[in-house]
Amino acid sequence: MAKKKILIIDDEQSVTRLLKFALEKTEIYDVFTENDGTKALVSIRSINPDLLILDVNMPEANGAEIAAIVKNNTSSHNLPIIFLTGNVSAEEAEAGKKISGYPALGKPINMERLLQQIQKSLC
Amino acid sequence: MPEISKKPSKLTYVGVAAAVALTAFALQDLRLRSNLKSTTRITQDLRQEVEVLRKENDTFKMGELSDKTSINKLSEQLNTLAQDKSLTVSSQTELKKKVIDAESTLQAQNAKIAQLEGKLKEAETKISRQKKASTNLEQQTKSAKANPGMTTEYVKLVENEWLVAVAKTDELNKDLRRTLSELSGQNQERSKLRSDTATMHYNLAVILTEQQNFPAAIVEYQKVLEIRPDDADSHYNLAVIYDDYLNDNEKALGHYRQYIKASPDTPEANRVREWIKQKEYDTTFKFKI
Repeated sequence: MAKKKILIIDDEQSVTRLLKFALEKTEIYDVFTENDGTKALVSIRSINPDLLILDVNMPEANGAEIAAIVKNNTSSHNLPIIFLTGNVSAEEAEAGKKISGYPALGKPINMERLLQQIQKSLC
Repeated sequence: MPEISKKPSKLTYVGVAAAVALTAFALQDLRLRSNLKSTTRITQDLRQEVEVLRKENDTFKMGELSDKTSINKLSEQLNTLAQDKSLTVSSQTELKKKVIDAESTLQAQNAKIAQLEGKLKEAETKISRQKKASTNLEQQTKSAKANPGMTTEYVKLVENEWLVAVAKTDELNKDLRRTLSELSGQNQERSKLRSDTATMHYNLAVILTEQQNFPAAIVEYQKVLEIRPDDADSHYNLAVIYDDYLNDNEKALGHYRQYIKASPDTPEANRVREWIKQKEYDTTFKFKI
């Protein structure tokens, strides 16, 4: 069975490195990373991921705006997205907090919660 | 009847001739005396006239001397004024050049400060993000260590990321302090430069006022006030220009009031208070009329 492709877009290299390591350990995902928010759309087009993990607050780009463009594009409007943000608490994430209709997880990242959400979003 | 002879004797002729001659002499003598008298009077008149003319000549000579002295004095004054004017013009040119140089330096300084402020803002944002990331990684490390499901490799990786983040935060803090110190130095330099520029504008304004070039002087005083809004001397001088030379009571009053505000305890301030009262009275009176 082909591995699912996950693209992580976050300006913090420590976050992308940790997530890539942890998700690739599962051996069911191929993980790609992008630390420059302005290159998000180019990366999405070139990688064509099955799931997007997207930071909301990046210095050069806004995650919610990127998600809106993705949603309005016919070729990517079904792409599942999980938001990562420092503005959502663990309790809010647990309660199913959403941003622009997509699930949002807080930082620091709870890996178990993230893996559960990934599986849920890919179904 | 015998005819009486009417023929005169010889003696009679001689007597008549003598009488005629005497009469002629007497007349001539009288004429000569009269002529002499007249000549004497004319001579006296002429002498008096000569005397008057001599006196007039003396007075004229003295006047001429006095005029020459006055002309020399005036010439000296004119030379001094020309020298003063030449000095003033050269000072003005020199000052204008200095002001242009100072303003150019100030502009460069402002650009440098704006750049540093931008750098500072950027550094602050970076530090804020880095601190947040560092805190997240610290919590993530603790959480990974406490979770038996996490592999040792993952725990080490998280911990390493956390340590890197802490080191990076320290480095950013050092950068921030360096930028702050540089900014503080530049601000001090700018402050001094602004003060020097204001003084140059003030000096230029004084020279222009002396030359009675009031519009240009006003512009220079305004430039001083842009840098030092409470500069008492500039307010005072502007008030005098508007009051004494341009007859603009409203502006004169405004600057007199600013002067009082900036320098309330000087002896001059009391005089200015009186002028303000007088001007306010004049203005009200004029308004009522």
